[in-house]
Amino acid sequence: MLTNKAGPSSTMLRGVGIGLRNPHMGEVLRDEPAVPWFEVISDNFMSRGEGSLGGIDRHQLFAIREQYPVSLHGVGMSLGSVDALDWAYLKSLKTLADELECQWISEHAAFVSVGQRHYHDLLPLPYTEEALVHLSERVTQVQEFLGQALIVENATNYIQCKHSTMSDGEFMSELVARSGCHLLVDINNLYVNQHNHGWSALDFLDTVPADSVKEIHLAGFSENAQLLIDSHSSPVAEPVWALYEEALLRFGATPTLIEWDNNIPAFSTLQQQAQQAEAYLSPIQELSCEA
Amino acid sequence: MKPEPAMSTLAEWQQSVAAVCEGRDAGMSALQGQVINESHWALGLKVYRNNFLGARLSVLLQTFPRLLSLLGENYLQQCGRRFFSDFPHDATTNDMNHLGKQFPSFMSDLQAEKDELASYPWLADLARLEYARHTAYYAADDRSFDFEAFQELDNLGKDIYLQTSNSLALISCEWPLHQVDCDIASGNILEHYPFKRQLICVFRENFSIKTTKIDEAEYDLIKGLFNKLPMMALLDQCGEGASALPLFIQRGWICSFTHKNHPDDI
Repeated sequence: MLTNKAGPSSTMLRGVGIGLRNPHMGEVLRDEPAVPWFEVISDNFMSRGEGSLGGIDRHQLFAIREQYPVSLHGVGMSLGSVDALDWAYLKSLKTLADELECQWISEHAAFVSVGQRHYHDLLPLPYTEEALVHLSERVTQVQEFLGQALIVENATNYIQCKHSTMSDGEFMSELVARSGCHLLVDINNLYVNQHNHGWSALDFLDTVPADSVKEIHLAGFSENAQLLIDSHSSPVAEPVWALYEEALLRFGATPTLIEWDNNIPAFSTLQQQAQQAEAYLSPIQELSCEA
Repeated sequence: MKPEPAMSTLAEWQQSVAAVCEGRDAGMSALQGQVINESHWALGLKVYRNNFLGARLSVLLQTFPRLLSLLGENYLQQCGRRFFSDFPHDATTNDMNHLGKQFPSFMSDLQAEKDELASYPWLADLARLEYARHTAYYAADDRSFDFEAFQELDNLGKDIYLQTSNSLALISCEWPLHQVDCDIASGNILEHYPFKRQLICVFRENFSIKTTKIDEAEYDLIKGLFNKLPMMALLDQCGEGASALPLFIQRGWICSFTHKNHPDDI
């Protein structure tokens, strides 16, 4: 069984972290705010081609890592793609994880490239046996290469494949069973899918194995005609908080992250969101400590 | 009654979704038979199409902040849409930092056909300057110049090649671009700028990007370095201008060297 490794100076993630984006890096370095951990988009810091990619962001990330635990969240692995795995990408990710001593690496159950062309978006997989076999094999390969369990996130889908043979929860549960991966449950994605397609978010929470859930994501959506869009551009909505509470009841005290990627507000707004999440998480954490 | 469309393979599904992202009708019609016919299925496909374009437009706007300030978000987005339509999608990696590479020359072509851009004759040069700064921001780290190894180098019969910083870029233009850049930043753009040849160097120093004016001799010297001339040829070609080489090393514009035996001595 693969486990998440902990480097010599790494710390287990605990409490409510914040997704660290470029506009806030300087402020974090300067003010050293009280945040238990940060998550960064790994793709923005990986080496490309020959030599190590530097850049100001990368310097700042390494300085921040000296003060905080950091987890790596990827968007470019294209786990579900029918293209061959990009080993140069994986090598670069492994190098970054080793350099930063990150014990948490997550990705999405989606594809971002096909025919060697990248689409810079998390594109939907059908929930079919063929897709599940393919995704499980690739997750297994990636985990063997990285030497640690991958944390896989449930995706937002704006279309439903009519040939899907299982629900999103069943698909992710089977993925865990076949590959031994861990899960990152994005509550906003569940709510958006529930609104757009009528998929039951509670069914998902009840279906996936609780002990495989290692992280939760919270974010805000936007509205576009009849659809909700997982835009990460607004505060966490009330029904998403309610679902978060349900998730914690099922999964226990799970490290949680506030994500905000568009119309990025002041860092203090993210801290307020994190405090709100902490109010849900703390009682569960205390209960588990007592137990 | 029409027969139910057969299940497509995972590969066919992915190719169809990708075609939708690129706005190709083939993707739309291929997926029509594969998705649940909710009232908003077409809207769902449009989300992917919009996300694909939106992600690239967003990078473009971040890469060219002065153009954004000058032209406004709506106008620059219109330019971006046309740019992405004229230059077919060919991203073979998820690295989006190079998306704006051809945007300066695109803006130069666009300027020829858009009257509203006529009052900004330096627009394409400004775009080049912005792309140089963007590249400098993300450039690979340089090694520190190894003075000891350089001093110990037995240069007899060897060609020495000085290597420039990964972040270093040159801009030559016929406008006071440095002033235009500063004026846009401070919101005090003039209606007219006189012709004035200007040479500009962009580089990264610690955590900041520097944009500085340079003279003709410095420009020629850096050009020579970019053209990978051996040091002796540089000294011949640049004459007294080559005396700036130690200063370039001090500024970090030259960060390493290589050497190889002179062909005549082999």
